[in-house]
Amino acid sequence: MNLLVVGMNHRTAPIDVRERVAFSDSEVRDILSRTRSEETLGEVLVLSTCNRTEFYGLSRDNGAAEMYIRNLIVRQKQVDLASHPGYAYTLSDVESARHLMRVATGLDSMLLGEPQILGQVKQAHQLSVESGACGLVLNRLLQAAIIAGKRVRTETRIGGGAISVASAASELAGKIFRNLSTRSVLLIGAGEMGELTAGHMLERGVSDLTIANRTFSKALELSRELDGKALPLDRVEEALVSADIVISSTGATEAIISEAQMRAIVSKRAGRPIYIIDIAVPRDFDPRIERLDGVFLHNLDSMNLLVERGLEERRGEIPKAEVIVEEELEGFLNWRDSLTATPTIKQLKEKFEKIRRQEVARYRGRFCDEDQEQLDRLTEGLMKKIIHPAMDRIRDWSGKEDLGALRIDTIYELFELPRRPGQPGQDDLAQPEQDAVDEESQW
Amino acid sequence: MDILLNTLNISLPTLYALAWADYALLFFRNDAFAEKTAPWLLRLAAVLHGIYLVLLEAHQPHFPVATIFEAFSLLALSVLIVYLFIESRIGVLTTGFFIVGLVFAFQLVSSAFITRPTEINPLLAEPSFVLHAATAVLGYSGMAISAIYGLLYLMLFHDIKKSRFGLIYKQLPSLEVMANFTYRAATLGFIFLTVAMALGLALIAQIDQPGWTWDPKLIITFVAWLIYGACTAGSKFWGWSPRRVAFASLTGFAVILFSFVVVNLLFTSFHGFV
Repeated sequence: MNLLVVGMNHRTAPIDVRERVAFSDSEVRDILSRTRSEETLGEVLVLSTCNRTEFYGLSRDNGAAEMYIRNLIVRQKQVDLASHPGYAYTLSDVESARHLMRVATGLDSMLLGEPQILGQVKQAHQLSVESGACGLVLNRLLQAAIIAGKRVRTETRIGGGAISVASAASELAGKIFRNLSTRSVLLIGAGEMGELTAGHMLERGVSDLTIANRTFSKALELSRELDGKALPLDRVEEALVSADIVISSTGATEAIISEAQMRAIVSKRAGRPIYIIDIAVPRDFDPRIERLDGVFLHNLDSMNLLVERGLEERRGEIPKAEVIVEEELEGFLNWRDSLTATPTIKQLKEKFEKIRRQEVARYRGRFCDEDQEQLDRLTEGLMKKIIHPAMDRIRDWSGKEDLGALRIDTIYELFELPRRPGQPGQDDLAQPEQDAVDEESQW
Repeated sequence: MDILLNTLNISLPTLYALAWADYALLFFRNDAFAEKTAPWLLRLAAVLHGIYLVLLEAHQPHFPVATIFEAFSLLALSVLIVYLFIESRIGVLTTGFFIVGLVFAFQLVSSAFITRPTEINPLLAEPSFVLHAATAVLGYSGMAISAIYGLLYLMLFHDIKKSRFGLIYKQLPSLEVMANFTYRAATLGFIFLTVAMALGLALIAQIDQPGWTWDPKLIITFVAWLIYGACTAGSKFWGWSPRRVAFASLTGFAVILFSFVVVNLLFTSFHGFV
């Protein structure tokens, strides 16, 4: 059975296409049960987020499986993949395993290193397990991908720097104030950017939010949404005396706070610092305010600088993250290679066990009842001790192409084992995986 | 005993240099190995330093401030202990590069120039004098720490104001944390120096020292004490901004260094120890 992934993401398909091919949890459940019954795919996982929809599967025939998935997308989501072949991509075997690990670690995300994707991969895994579509191989691959995701998060700083204006503003607030939960935020203007920035501040623990807007009803509406207080715009000066953090993004055509006004405000603040994020264009605060002691005034350019630095910091961590991906991938591939040894090991064990039982049966009559149990234990122990080093060696050989295959053939000849998997007559490709399940449960 | 003292005298600046290198790796490269080893190396150095000063005192019974170089060593340990306390409180190791650098400098000067005093003033074994000297050293330590955090505050303040998001921005804790430590350490330094000065005045009265009023060392110490008093009161009662407190703390520490080095070398003072 071969691994494959068919999907589309933010690099290959525009947002309107990605929106259309997004699958809800109930749709995913339905697809998982259907694909299982149709047997084109051995194991299936569907990862559907706002930036990607990917089908991971295990198939006997990757060409047929790819066509099956593409047709499913076309049928279910009415996306014309034939006219836009570049929207979807297909990766096979090692590349598909590597791709899943890169996705889980955030290396393939639109916002490099973003943390949500790991949770989404776990959720997709859970759905696949619950639907009975996740078998031995995908399960192991998912575990390795999740471990890689966790390691990248803890061993690198890929999730470190700010990568949006809103997160940059809240990061900077954290560099000025120790604990944002005790700080008050004044949002001037009810625009989308300001709302987003205020949202980031709330995520970092800010609990006291005031929204001032020229149209009071809008301020009121947003204050209900963000659990804050509303204020008419003409009372902003009063609010600036007590606010610690100010986010300003009005559509005013000239500055709404002059240097003289701010100087008067600062004199009433008893030395307490104030951090102003002026993301309005044109700016809401007179830039000369920046010279006042205790005032930190930053505009959109400063935020963009921070975003660039954050991205640079994250990009610098990519090589470390790639090393982790390769380590986990290698672990998975080694495990998968060892699966091909499983039928040989199983047959060898059965052969030895048969011999043991025959010999024990021959001599059983010469032992009293109490000793017969000891006899079984002794012979079983002997057999395990003899066979264990051979099993380890067979697992090692299984990953080593021609030489390994030659040695395994020798084992078959030496112990007169019935048949060699992969040789003519061997038609059940799923058998090694089933054998591996049996072996894991026995040993 | 001499061999042990000499070995420790050489080992201490070496250990501090290693710890400083570790903190440098941490500050400049976020080195994971340095992050694990630096705090333990520093704790080991602190323990050995404590043993060294105890042995020094046991060898020739006196409080180790008989010479400026003994006092430097005591000051290094005192700064280190205050820093280790701060490090454990804020859980941030990146400011260690600056503090450990100062500790290393103090101990290096001490180890390089320290000589065994030929004659010990009996006053150095007096309990009231020991208390006076100990509180003075603690006061100076608080002031040194305050000055360093003040300096770091000003550096980060400047970088944030000018939108320079470099190493200082990346590695230092928030301005509020550093303003807090600048103020607290200054207050601690002021309180201990107040006690040291009061005990000193009592000692002067005991030994009936003439002409002490215009002694250069006492005048300069008094100036430093006034500056740190202003830091404390300014922040608490007069609405001083953290930036002004940081500037004042740095000025106060410059005055103390002047008192320690220049006045000791160029002027004569009845205050014969430090």
